[in-house]
Amino acid sequence: MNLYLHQRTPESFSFYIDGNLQFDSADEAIYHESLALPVLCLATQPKRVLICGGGDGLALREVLRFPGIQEVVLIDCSNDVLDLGRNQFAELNDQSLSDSRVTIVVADALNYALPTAYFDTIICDFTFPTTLESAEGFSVEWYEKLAQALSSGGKMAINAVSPQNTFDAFACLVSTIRAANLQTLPFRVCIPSFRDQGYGAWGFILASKERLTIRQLQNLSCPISTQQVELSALARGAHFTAAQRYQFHVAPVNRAGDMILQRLLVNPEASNKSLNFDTPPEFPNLLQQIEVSHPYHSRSMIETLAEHVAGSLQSIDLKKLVSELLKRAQSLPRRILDELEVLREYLSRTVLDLEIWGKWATRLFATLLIVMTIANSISPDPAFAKGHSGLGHSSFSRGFSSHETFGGGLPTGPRAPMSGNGFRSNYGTGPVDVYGYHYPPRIYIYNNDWYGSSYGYSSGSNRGGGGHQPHQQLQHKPLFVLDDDLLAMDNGDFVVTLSDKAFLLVSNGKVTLMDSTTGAVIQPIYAEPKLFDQIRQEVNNQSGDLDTEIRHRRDWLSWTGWTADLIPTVRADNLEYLNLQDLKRRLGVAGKKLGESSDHGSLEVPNGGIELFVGCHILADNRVQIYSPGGKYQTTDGITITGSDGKTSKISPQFKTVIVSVIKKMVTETQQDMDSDRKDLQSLQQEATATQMDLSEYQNLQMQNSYDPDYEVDYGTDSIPVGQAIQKTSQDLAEIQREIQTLQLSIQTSEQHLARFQTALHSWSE
Amino acid sequence: MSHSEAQAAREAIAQGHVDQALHHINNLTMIGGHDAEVQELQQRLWHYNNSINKRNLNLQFYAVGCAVLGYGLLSLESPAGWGLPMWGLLSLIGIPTMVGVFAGGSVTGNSKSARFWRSFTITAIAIAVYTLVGMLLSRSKMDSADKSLDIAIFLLVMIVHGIVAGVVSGFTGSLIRTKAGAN
Repeated sequence: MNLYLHQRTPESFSFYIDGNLQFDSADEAIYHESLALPVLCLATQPKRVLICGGGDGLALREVLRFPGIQEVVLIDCSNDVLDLGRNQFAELNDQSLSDSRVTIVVADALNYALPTAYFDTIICDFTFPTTLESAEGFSVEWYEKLAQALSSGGKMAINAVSPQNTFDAFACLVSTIRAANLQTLPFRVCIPSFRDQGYGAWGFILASKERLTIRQLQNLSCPISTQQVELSALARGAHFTAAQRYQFHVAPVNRAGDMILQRLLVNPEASNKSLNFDTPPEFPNLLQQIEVSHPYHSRSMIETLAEHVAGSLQSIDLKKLVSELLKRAQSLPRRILDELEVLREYLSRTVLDLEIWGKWATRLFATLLIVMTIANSISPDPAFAKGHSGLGHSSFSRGFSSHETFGGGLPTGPRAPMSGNGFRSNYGTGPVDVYGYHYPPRIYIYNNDWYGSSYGYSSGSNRGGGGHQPHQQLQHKPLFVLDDDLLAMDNGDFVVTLSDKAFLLVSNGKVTLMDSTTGAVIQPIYAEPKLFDQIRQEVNNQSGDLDTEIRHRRDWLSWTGWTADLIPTVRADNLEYLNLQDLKRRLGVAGKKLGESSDHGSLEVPNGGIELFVGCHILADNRVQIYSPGGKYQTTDGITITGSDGKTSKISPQFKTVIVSVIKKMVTETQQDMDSDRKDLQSLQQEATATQMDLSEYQNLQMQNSYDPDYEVDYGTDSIPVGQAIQKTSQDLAEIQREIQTLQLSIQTSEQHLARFQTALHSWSE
Repeated sequence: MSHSEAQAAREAIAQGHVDQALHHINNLTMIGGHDAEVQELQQRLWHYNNSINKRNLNLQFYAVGCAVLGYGLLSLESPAGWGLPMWGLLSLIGIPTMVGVFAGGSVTGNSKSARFWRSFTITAIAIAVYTLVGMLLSRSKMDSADKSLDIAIFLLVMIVHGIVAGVVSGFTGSLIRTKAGAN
């Protein structure tokens, strides 16, 4: 142990152990009062005190000033320091080491047998750990031993490390004390002489078997006067950010078998660095991983040394070396041989390529850059393809996955996987959407000719869903998925899927409710003009998208088309181009076949009603109202059906089954929507809580640093003034609260609808 | 004697026959022609060479400029946008021919192969870059199920375009006759 006393004047000096400043006579009171007095004030009538370290007698001075102290045991391993305490520091420590109440033990405190539950206050004043051995005085085993020596209601104060410069080590120390089943209250104090040495704000930790709070520190009542510290102000230094407090919980514990503290002290950034071994690391990153093993070594020293070594290694022909080593493979252990094989493969794969391609890539890049700059300056948009929509992009999400069976039609085989190449070889085997997703093939059965020619049938005897069977039913396949529930069929009709038992057929200006199991007509429906407008708009939009994609493929093929016979990819691109043109043509035909709505004027939702599907509402009394072409409506309670002219007949089982299936689907979908909304709400509420915590944190920091309006804090990845952070966080919080309100309203509406649907389902199922 | 050598040197310079001019100036020196006359002829030859070199450099610059401008304008539209026949005419024949005229003219001497390769190189590089950029932009607008062969496609199209346009340009360049210079 090297002791050094720097005597500036007869009264002013500073004391170093192993090059580390222990105290400066000018401000030592800040350190020793912060260490000794809070713990004495918090302890219940302290009488017996243990001081570990602190041979300079300065902490002892503070203890002896405290009223009621009867016995103090001071354990220090260094006679030299104790001699200084008795002589050179005697005036400064008020000759505390000669006090009759003090028992001095010259021993290693770690090996000294301590009485159980004896001391009311324990003060650990060990020096900064510079070796693994000295770090044992900061281990969980040591704190467990101290905890046993602590009386009931006793408190402990520990000289820690700098949370400013070595936060990871400080957190490790807090975590270690917690691991010894002690509650902790860490705080930091600014000591000018320490700051001048570059130590940063200094940390202390109060520990106890009982809970310790910042409020206790705020309300400290000290019976003696202090020289340099305002004890109630110490609480300001006990505020740590949420992230820092989190670190106190998760930081590693310093154990006798794993002295992590010393490593964290000399490698303050160690925890921020991680090395990804999936790819060979860059040399500078690799250097960062080398740990500093001694406090007198700096990172730049280590890196300079490592660069010399690396320089020597770089002069080696690595490929040749590996090849030579492999020639002598017989004498090498198997594991090393395997590693060398991997290295050789890596070198042959990368090093040469990098050398050759690196040169050419630079030249090519420079050339491209010039040409593209010129091209862009002449014609910005065509040259850089801004805003293209894309096709077959698997990354596009349209929320279709939950409806991939379309809720109707008959499956024709095993479920086909979705893919983005639905316009290539798969085209025509099942429906695709504008993104190129391919869906499982489906079949819808109905008679197209009958449908078109005998529309007036609904006014006949089977009015109200008579389940009319067409003479000849044909199978029709959906060709294109326009929307979640809207399909364009191969014959140009449109199908709106309602449930697994029903769909709406839309064509030639008319709408019909169909039974998807049998293909029977259930009921002609009022041709709501809005439905036709929506379909037409969807067709136009998606035709526009198809046009864009066709143009892109045409451009591509104008470069490469002649290679189609040679290159399969180009052949596939060509096929896709032709299929897109075919689809575009068919959509055009379907758009024409859709026609104009045969009915005029939009339907109003009846008072208290909820729309089941277009032209069909569920009323407040659970009856279902369905509009026929021409605007006449029928109302049914699931047993009878009544026309607007008052005529009543019995409802067909087929019609009832279809309505029940639609209500069931509405129940399921509303439930799913609600579940999704609730999850979103939960996330938002968590976000609001976190944001609120951040806001409080910022407000605390603003209070603590009120003298500095430009005090900067972390905001996301930026560092901004605390006032600005508070303003932005408040805005964020308000925005989140608005979203929460909207979502709550949506859930409320969904709940009401769900209740209605469930009641109706119950009523209709009876 | 010295008068006739000096006269022959002047005529050779006027006709652009640099080697002959040098030969006559050497003869003039050996037979003891006036120093002033020899110096005047040497200066005349030096000026002539300078003007030829300057012209060659300009023509090379025009050739590159013609290629950059031509293919730059062509890149305003895709080949399909121009219409394939029009695009083929412009990119594989029109621009290469113009480049060939300038590039071929920038080579002094009687070497047809030198003129061919200079024209070929300038045109082939220009159209290859134009093709690559055009294809990259075109490809970036669409997705494909399989992009593993894209590099092969790019290379193939670039090489074929480069060879076709390069040959057209080289052939044109090789037909250009120029005055000889002191290379």
